[in-house]
Amino acid sequence: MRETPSRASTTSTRTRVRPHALVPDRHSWIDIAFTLALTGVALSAFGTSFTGTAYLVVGMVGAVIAVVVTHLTRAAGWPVISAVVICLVLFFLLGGPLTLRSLGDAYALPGGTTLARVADQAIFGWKDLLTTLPPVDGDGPLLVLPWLSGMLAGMVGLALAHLPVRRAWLAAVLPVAGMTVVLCGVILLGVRHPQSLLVQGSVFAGLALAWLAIRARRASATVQGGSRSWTRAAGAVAMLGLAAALAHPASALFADDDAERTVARNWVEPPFDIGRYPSPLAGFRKYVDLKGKDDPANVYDKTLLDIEGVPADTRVRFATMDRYDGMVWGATDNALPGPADDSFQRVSSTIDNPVEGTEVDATVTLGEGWSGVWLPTVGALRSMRFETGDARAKAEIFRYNLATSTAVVPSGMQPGDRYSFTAVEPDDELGEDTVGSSDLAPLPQGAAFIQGPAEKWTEKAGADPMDRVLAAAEHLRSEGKYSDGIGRTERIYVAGHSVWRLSDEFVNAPQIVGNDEQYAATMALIANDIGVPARVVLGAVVPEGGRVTGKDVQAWVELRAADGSWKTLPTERFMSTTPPADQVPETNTPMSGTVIPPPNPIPPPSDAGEQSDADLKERKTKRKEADDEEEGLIPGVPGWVGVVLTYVGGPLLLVALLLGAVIGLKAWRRHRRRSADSPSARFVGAWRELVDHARDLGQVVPLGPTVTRREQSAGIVSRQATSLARRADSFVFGPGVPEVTAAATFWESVDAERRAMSQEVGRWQRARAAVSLRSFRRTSPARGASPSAEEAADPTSGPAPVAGRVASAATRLRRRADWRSRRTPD
Amino acid sequence: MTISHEQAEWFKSTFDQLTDNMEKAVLGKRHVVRLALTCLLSEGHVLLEDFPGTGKTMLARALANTVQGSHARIQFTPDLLPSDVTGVTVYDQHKGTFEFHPGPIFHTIVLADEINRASPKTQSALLEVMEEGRVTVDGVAHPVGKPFLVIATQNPIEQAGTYRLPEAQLDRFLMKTSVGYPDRQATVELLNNAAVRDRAALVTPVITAATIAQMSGLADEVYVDPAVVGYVAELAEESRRQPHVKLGLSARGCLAFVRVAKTWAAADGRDHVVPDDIKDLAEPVLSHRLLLDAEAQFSGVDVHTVISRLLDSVAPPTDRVGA
Repeated sequence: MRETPSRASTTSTRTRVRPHALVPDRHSWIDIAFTLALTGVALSAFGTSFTGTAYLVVGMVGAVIAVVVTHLTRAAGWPVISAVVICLVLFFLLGGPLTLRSLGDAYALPGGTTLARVADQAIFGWKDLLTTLPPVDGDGPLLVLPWLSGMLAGMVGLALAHLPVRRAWLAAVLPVAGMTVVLCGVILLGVRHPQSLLVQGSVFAGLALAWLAIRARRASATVQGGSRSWTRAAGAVAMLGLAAALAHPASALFADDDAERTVARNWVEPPFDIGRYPSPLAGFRKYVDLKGKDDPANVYDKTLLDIEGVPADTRVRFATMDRYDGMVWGATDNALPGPADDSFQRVSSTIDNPVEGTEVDATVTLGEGWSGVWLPTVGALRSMRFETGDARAKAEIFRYNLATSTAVVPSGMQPGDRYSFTAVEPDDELGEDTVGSSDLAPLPQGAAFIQGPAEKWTEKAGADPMDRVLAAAEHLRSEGKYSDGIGRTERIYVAGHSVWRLSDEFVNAPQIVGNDEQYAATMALIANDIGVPARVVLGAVVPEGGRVTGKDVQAWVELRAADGSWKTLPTERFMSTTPPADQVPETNTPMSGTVIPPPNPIPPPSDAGEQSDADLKERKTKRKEADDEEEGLIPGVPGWVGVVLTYVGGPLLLVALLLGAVIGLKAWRRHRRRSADSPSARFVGAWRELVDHARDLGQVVPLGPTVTRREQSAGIVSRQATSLARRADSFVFGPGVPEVTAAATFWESVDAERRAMSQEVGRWQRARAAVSLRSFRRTSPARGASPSAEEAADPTSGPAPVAGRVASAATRLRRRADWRSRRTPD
Repeated sequence: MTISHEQAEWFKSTFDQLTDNMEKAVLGKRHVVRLALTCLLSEGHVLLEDFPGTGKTMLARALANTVQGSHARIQFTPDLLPSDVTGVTVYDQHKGTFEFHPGPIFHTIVLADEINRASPKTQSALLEVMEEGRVTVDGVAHPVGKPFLVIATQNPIEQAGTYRLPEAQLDRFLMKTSVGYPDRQATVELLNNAAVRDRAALVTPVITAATIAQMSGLADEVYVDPAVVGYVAELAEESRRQPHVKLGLSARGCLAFVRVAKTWAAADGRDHVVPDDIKDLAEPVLSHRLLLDAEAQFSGVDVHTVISRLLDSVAPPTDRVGA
């Protein structure tokens, strides 16, 4: 339809809506290209989370599909929601063949199981990704996530680019902001170490700025008399290049290092609790020689494992215990200070382990003496492959702690299980020049008893912490005696390494007597007291032939060096092998004949391989209490309060912020209406405020561009609505120019009526109205459908084609835009 | 100069009195009565189209009776001649001159009953007097005086032997409306007073012709904001673009629209016109001015549908121009 000159001249800001061609025009191609390019850059951030490049291929396929669908639905004149629905359908239909091939779901037509798996991965896969030590298998089911991300990014980018926005700057910024959000989301799902600062930072910023500039120029008026196009283009490229070149080094100056990067993994707590498993050190006596005594739990002579691929004297690690709770040394998560990968996380078949050293390729077959959840390994794992039993199930639940190099299979390992692994054996020898770590390691609760002996034994060793540790070790080795508590005269040397056992019956006893359990536990406490972080390792030294039996099991101590590595303090350095004298040591204080001494404490069973459930429960409770008291999530606040504040207060705070934002937005809108430039616009704004208030209260108010104030007032449940509508009309359309004071008075009337309307409803409904988003929704289109002139000219008079309907809609929109341009912007 | 607030209030109270007076005869049809009065005060004419027995003639007679002035009824028939309406010049043998004998059109209120039964020639005799308020016979113009209102009625179903009013004639009518059947309450009241043969006789004059002229002058001074004027213009443009519309709103129709909206606003006690006035009056002002094409009937589209779409496709202003 042609515009008459008079119409064209009356409205300078006219929104012209045209039907969109099936083949993209130049602007659409630019938007599509930038959307796909930015999506590719954003998806590349998954590089640290997935092995291979399948994630990028799948993600880009999703992005291309989403872009095509979004464009086609726009060309057809369908709403954006139709693109969402179509993409959702394609996501499920193609999700199986593209992402679940490893599970055998490669059929072109997915079945119910496949659809359920895709949905399951799309919903719960995020948690699996965040709780799995990266990188995960690049061809595994978690590929659903890049598939979903790519589709989401493509749709968000192009849909926002096509969104009709009246403000030019907003139209330019919106799609770029959307893609930036996608990038941030992918980075959050990644790891602390970025895939590539250059790609994720400079390239993305360059592309985003270029797109922003193109869209801003497209949305603004053409500059007359400016530079030539090639000059501007060259200038823009130069500026972008300069910005990108400066951004990269500048980021190194201002940005924190990788350890300070914030990713979702920082907050996601793996649901695995290593603390619920008993300490293997507490059951050390099942590895000792019973000297003829029969005990089915004892494995002294039994084969624990056969290991191939490692030389003799290699240390096989069963478990690393890095926390003492007053009862036992146990394995725990996050014992190390600061951000570190110090937790038992699910890992895939390959592990990105940064440790350097000698590569090991070993195979282990568990023997008859082995049971439990701990998995014997050597060095720092690089890959793991289970070969027997339900290998896939074991691989699924297999967990590994990078910081302690300890592996766990929660379902337990059985004799006969076989697995292979590659690992790196670091240089862990404690040298003369090894400097202890300066990280502060607080002395565990209840271990204060060690301070006196440690001070006494190391007083001649000087000030160097490592020298003091070695002096204490030497004192233990030279002054101590070895006993497994077997035999009639040695039964008093009970098992366990609780505070009582290590204090009264070990370091403060007339004679230091114990075995690996007590020596290693004590040695680690002394080192921690001196200031060198230490932990206890239960493992075995591989004998000739590779068959490890109970007699090869040892408990040694690892000390943390200044470079962050852990050095082994062998058992021989701090444990004596000399048996004690046959004479029973006197542990009771001589008393007078009239005083009956208290009975000796009842020791725990010396031959118990595992601790009783009661012991474990008590220990766990004490540990939990200690955790709450010592390491509350908020310093200075009791643990449980901190937990509540952290896990409940956080979401509540977020909700409160959102609700506050809504209230603030409404206040801003009200202020904007109240302080409009012209007084008549203030009257209009006041009426709209009343209408919005009624909508927030849940009232059904007629809306739309063709509805007048009087018609709206009929739908508002209010005593004064009709009168106020009439007053607003009289000021707006009346003969005199409305005054500011009259507008202020009218606003007061509207405010009073709003309060009266609020008083009519209950408190809960008032609160809901205050945070309701209903009034922010766009008003519904005009009632009925008005066929366009183009449709009238169609002699067929049948159902209007799509293009005709789009033209009709465009005509209506144009006419509304004419009248909206005469209104006060809202 | 615009009408003052006090004048608007007086206008409203007088208008309400007229309405109440006419309602003695026309039960339960306040809106139609107000429309007819609006026509009278806007110096326009009204066309009533409805089924037989709905009270068209009663309304016309009640309106005629409520104004203190003369009124006449012309029953249009196929053999009615133009001179039967306008009057005729005859030769006076005593004086030896031609004298004009005015026809029934020379009254304050003229009821043209079943106007579409007269021949086009006779219908056309009304063109001049309805537009210009005068009759020209033998080259001599004879003004009919003010106020002057033609209330024409026609029956939409009995089309045999009738002559459809030409568009030019229809455009002379300020409004076209229908009375419609009374509701239950009005019907019951009507039946309870069945003994009253002529309800129009219950209506006595309550206003003089001079007052009518005064009110008409006040209505002309009602303020119309440019935004509202633009709204009317937009409706006119859109009416010509509407599907199935062969003839849209004319410039005379736009003028009528604004004129009648002014009176309508004054009758509401306002000194200004609001967009709601335009929407309220769209149906009676536009319904006889929009000419639909032949396909409209086959598509099930009538003029009411077109007007509804028209109002839905043009947004009324919410703020004054330039605010």
